[in-house]
Amino acid sequence: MSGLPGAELLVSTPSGRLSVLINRRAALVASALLLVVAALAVLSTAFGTRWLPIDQVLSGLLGTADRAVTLTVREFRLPRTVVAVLVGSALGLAGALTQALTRNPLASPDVLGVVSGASAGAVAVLITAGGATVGYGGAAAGLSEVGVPIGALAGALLSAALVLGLASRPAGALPATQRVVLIGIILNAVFLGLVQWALTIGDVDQAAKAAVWLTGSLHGRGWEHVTAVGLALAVLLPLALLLRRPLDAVALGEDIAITLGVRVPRLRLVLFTLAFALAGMAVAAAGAIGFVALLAPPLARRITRSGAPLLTAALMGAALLLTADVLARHLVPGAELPAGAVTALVGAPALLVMLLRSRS
Amino acid sequence: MTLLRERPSVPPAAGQARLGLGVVLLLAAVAAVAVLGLALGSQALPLWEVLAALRGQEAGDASIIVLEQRLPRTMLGLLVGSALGMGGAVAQSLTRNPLADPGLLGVSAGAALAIVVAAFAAGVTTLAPQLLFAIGGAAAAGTAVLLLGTRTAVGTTPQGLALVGVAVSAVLISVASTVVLFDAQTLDEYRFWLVGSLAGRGMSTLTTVAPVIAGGAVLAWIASRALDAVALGDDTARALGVRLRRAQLLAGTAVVVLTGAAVAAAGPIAFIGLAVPHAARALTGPRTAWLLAYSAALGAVLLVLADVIGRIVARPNELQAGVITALIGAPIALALLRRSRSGATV
Amino acid sequence: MNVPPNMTSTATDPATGTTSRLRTDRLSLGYRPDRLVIAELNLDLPTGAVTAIIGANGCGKTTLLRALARLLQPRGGAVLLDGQQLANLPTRQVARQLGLLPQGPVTPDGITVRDLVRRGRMPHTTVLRQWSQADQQAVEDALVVTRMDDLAGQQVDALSGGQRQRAWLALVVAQDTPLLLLDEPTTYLDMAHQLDVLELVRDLHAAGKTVVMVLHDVNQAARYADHLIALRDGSVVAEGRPDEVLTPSLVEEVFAVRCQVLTDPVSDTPLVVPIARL
Repeated sequence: MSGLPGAELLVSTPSGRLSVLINRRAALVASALLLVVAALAVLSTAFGTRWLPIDQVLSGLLGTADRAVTLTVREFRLPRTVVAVLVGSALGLAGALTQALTRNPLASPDVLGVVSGASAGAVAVLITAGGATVGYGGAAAGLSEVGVPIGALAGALLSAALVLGLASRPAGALPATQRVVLIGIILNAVFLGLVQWALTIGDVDQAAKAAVWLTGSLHGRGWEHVTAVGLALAVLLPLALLLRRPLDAVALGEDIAITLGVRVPRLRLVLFTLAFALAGMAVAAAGAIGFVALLAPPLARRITRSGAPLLTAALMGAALLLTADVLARHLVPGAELPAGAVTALVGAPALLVMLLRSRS
Repeated sequence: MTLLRERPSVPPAAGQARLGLGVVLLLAAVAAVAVLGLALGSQALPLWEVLAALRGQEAGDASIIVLEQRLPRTMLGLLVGSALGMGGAVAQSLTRNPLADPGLLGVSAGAALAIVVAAFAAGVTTLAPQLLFAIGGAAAAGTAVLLLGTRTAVGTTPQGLALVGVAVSAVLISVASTVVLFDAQTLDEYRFWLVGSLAGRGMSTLTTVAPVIAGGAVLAWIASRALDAVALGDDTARALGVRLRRAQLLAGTAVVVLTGAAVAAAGPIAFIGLAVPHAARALTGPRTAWLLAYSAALGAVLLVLADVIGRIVARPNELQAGVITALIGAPIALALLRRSRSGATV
Repeated sequence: MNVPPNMTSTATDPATGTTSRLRTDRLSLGYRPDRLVIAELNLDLPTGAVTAIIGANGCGKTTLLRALARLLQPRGGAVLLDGQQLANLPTRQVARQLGLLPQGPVTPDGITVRDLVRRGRMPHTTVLRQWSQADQQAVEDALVVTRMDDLAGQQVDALSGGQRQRAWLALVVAQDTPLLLLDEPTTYLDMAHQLDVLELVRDLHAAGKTVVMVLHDVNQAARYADHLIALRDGSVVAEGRPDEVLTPSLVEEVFAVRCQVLTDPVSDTPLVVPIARL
């Protein structure tokens, strides 16, 4: 290891054939965030309709507590917490990728059509499958339970394909990345329209269920959700990290990036696909939780004070969602808000503050 | 010889006579579409029955359908469509941004949130007070987006402003959705309203909203001369003697009133404010007064057509007009994108 | 519309006797489907020389430079590097030969000068080997050459326009390419900073690099370039040494300006003094 002047740390083999540059500050921040996420995770597992003291949480995890506690911890709270971490990470990463690529802090999958496409798919299933489940996300394994995430995923894939496909054809003098943004905005409006229409088709109960899903909730998320999102993240996160260097070059402008040897059109396709896939999986698991993908990356940027931190954004997303979920369970005494409601209520003013503070 | 830096191609200034002729043609189109709106639907009525009903001669089913359902609905469609078209035209001129659709800029979402909050918190369910809330909400949201757009780094490009608008809309709609979750009845009404529809609005809606929209149209028309100068840039406009702040305020109020009224009457309807001014500008060139007239007419035609299509396509049920505009508006908007020179000019 | 190019590797320019690594062969460029900005242009850019491309607004200078930098795909013909079509070469390989300073580059937030310059080493690093001693040296050298070494730790967006331009130049220098393309490097800079940049170009030339730059100011071109290419309406009106190219009749033809050509007392190169537009 050797320190370089400036923020980077060089880790290399003695022969120099293998070497990796690590941003010191980003590494520190990421480690700190990891600890924060772990602490929040413990907190999240302890909270619930009744508060479990930490030692009970731990013994529940280990299986040494009584059956009720073990069940609560292992079957309900732990998976929910893990899903929150995974979904938050996926959203934070997706947002970081799109924002870095478009060089615009507002361009997150939230507004580029993927989330609304996923919503359209999910709501279509919810409305047509009828009220086969009990409660919101439902613990009963009705058709909706399996169908909704699949519908959401299908919707996400379809909308991503549409956005990227349409954006690949030239449009006047508009550069390709801006095409993606504009087409995403337009398709977003279309899908939202479809979602709103779907809400009018069924009866009020179905609409209510759909509305909760649309807001985004972690209620009733189990180990099957963990597996799905976990797999996606395990594959896509390393891929994204590998593409860090070309992404840094794109931050300087596409012309410079091409000059520095980056295959920009290919990079753009790969990164958008990655981002949309991550967002799609996250939405399929937890509904259309807003603002995490939008806000986690700028917050991460602010603390690491570097260009486009990917890992830190993911961790920040996890932290945000965990916090939102804990708050959601306790803001209104006796009732449980959907986590998406909290992210909306907190995210809204945060977004405005962020916009106001950006330099003019 | 081609220029290295592409200049936006502005259609040659059409002569007054030609523009006037265009208006006449458009009015004819409006009339034709209105007739379609009266004749077609879940039950197609022959033309002579429609005319007879209008003249008060028929007394049967046809008369009821025409006079009590389709007439107010069609007229509302014309009114709301023209309001949306004009609102979009003014917004695009005011912000010098071809993507400024009041729907995209959060104005509709602001109206929506205001109506939801009014219904939930104050039990407001009648149209007249709803209108006030809607216009207030539209004003607050629109101002916020415009301020954020012009004062921050991200909002300076057209796409940037659109993104600001979308982000703010998302905020407002999610807050509205959260509020609505708490009350099943509000949800039940809200979900039908949210999709944007002309159905079920009676004459009273029409009579309440018409004067407001007319007022908005007058404001827009007064602002139109100043907007011609604003199109050249703030500095140039000031140099030409325009009182910039006053013009912006006037135009902004026009957008808010027109959009707020349209949203209160028929719910948020997408794409008309975006696509119609572009089509109109291709015909009229940049002069705002003519642009307003053409946008109003085209918007009216488009919305009533969408409503008619919605009535025919899913017989005997209906697809709401808002869904149709969303579905057909997108390809139109995309085609406009394809034709645009750069993001900043059309 | 693609015309197969000649396959000679380097062409010797009979006038200057230098060989050209970078050439165009019947190059046609355009942005819109119906019009060409440049049509069937044959051009040799002499290796080891400083070439300045001059012409009036809209003559195609920047379009040409962008095509040379492979940012613009030819509509016909090709840009050749060492005899091979630029479009066919792996972009990383080209990145080690050809560097570009675009006009008005946008700096991202929160980046220091050193960070910026470091990114110029991208073509030389890989995912597995992200940094080496050679890279470090190249960055430090680039900072010294552009006199940005004491500003290396500063945030780029806190610098003045001239300093920022030098920082971007340092990035291109760190990229360590034998060929450098500069798009109007002195526009928007004040006199002192303009001289800074041009003197740096001279230094780079002395170190053996080939520089091709688009310049707005004809007199700067005359003073600092070995070879001038004057464009009008997308075709070459004249090329050669400044004293050969900058004659009153030529300036009239290219710029539509009546002028007198004196001799610059400092550098002994042509000095164009405009009299009136035609």
